[in-house]
Amino acid sequence: MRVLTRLRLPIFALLLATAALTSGSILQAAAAPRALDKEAQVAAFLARQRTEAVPLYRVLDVRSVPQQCGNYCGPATILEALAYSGVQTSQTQLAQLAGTPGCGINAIGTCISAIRTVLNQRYQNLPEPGWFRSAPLRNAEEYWGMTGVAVAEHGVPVGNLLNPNPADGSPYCLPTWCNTTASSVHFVLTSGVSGTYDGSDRAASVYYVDSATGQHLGDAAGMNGWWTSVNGMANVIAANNGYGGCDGINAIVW
Amino acid sequence: MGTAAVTASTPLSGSTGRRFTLLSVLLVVLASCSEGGVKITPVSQQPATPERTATRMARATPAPTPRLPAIAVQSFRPAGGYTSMIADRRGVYWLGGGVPLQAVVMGAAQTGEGERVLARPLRDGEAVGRPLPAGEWLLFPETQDTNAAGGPWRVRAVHLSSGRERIVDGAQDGWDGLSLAVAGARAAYTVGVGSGVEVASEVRLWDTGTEEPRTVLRTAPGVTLQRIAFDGRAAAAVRTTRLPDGAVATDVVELDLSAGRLLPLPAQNATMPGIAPRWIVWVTIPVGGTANQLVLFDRERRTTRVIADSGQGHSLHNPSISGNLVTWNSSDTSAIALYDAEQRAGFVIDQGVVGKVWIHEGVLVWTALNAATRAYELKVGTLSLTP
Repeated sequence: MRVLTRLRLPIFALLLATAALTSGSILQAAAAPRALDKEAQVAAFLARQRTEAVPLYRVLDVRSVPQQCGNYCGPATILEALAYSGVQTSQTQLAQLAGTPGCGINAIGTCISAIRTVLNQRYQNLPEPGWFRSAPLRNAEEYWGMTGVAVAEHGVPVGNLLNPNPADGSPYCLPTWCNTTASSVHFVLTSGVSGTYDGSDRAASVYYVDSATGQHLGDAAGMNGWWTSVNGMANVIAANNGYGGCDGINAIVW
Repeated sequence: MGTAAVTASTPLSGSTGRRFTLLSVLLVVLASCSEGGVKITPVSQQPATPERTATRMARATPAPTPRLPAIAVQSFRPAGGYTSMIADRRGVYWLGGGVPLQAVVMGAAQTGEGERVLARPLRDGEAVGRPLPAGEWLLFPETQDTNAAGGPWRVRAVHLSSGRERIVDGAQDGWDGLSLAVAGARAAYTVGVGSGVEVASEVRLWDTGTEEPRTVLRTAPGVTLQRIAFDGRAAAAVRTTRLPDGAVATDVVELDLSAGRLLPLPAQNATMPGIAPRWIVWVTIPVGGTANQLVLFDRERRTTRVIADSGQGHSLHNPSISGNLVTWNSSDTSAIALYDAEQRAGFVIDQGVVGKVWIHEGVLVWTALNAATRAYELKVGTLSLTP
């Protein structure tokens, strides 16, 4: 019995001392969250949505910017996000920063990792340093969680690499693309959320702005935003499966 | 798909001689047109206001029940993927493709029999629009590469019987490349001309197989036309105008092709027009996340009416029209509606996970999730337009 007491006291004292020594770093960790924090926020968001089922509605005042070149959807999307955060820059400058090749026939686009990096470097007043991450999309509910946390709770838009009109037999296409090509690779920015996700197409949707303009799209600059269901957006992202993003199956910058 | 906001109103003459509008009954199942497993029901109507209720009570005889022409529906599952579908009484056509790029133009009978590749893009090309049947030809727009800055645009055509192909026309580089529409055996298309702030659009007509294309309209510099729709005589298109301050304005205009002039419409901030001899339809652009509306314009009376509203958090898009019948798509893909502009009545033609609906010359095509197999299938609905 005595032995045990002797052992317990030093252990208890050791724990106290350890806690005192590490409290500073714990606080620092809270200020600079670990990578797991956004996942936890998504899980908490979805849990609240399932139990409370309170419909959301938030649309950020993000303006679409017409892309200067056929392969500049990446720089134009970065510009849309940065302009919303108060940063003035140009597509040309962002294309240089992101390593987008010059515009021309058969020119390739912008890598996901470059979009993420430029956003983290230039976006003003991020909720936390290094906020933007790239991730694959596992399911539509997860997408609802990502956009709910980013757009609704923190006021930060979400980037999406997708095929806007996939030839997959589904009823899903981005509205301005439904009459057009079956095999484009494109990047758009989600800036709004509405509803509460229950698995159906009707219940929850996202608002996105699109930099693409032109003859087959027919929408002028600054007006190119539309709603699509969460299932629909998740479907056009999944149909592309990260193709053209040079980052495996990663397709979301959030 | 915003069906709860679809209205069906019938103009009546009241006992006082005033002209009233009666919003007709709530969600009545017609059940008269159910073929191929598709139940046709009128969509729900707006609730009656007191004035409308009084009007209805004063009326001695009930309004005729709106009826949709019989519709024969066939469905099949194409072997490959599909999107941007269209059908006529001979067959169904669509874009197939995927990753990597290279969309191809496909076709089959309405039953799905004889599915085959009808046309492939030229080298480094890409079919960039819905294939359109016109007479003996199937037309589609193509560009060398959709990732390019427009690229060289072409109007391609393939003869449906012989398989012979031809390049109808070409357009220069640039995002104002071309848009294409057909009616009967005629095609109308826009092509970009000029460059920079001087860019303009020309509208050209092609009577398929009988003559070479001819230019019938050219816009002023700084004004371009996109998303053309065509009824065989007149057309409608989205007009983009570069303003002196550098801003851009968008509206839908009617095109008088015989006089070569643009006729303004009450359609500011509007897009995606469709046109029929009596009507023009378009959707408003949901700027800033607002709800948007499907608007019907009566070309004879020069009046408009909203026939559907997306409601908050959804968008209506890509309407199409054939005769008096209008259909459209929505971000809410739980139902597909068909609106009869003459009867002022809407009907639900399919429910579930459904979308990408298009109507052309009395034939509907859409995609639907088969609840039993959990697989998507393509549906073709041919309307009986004669009594």
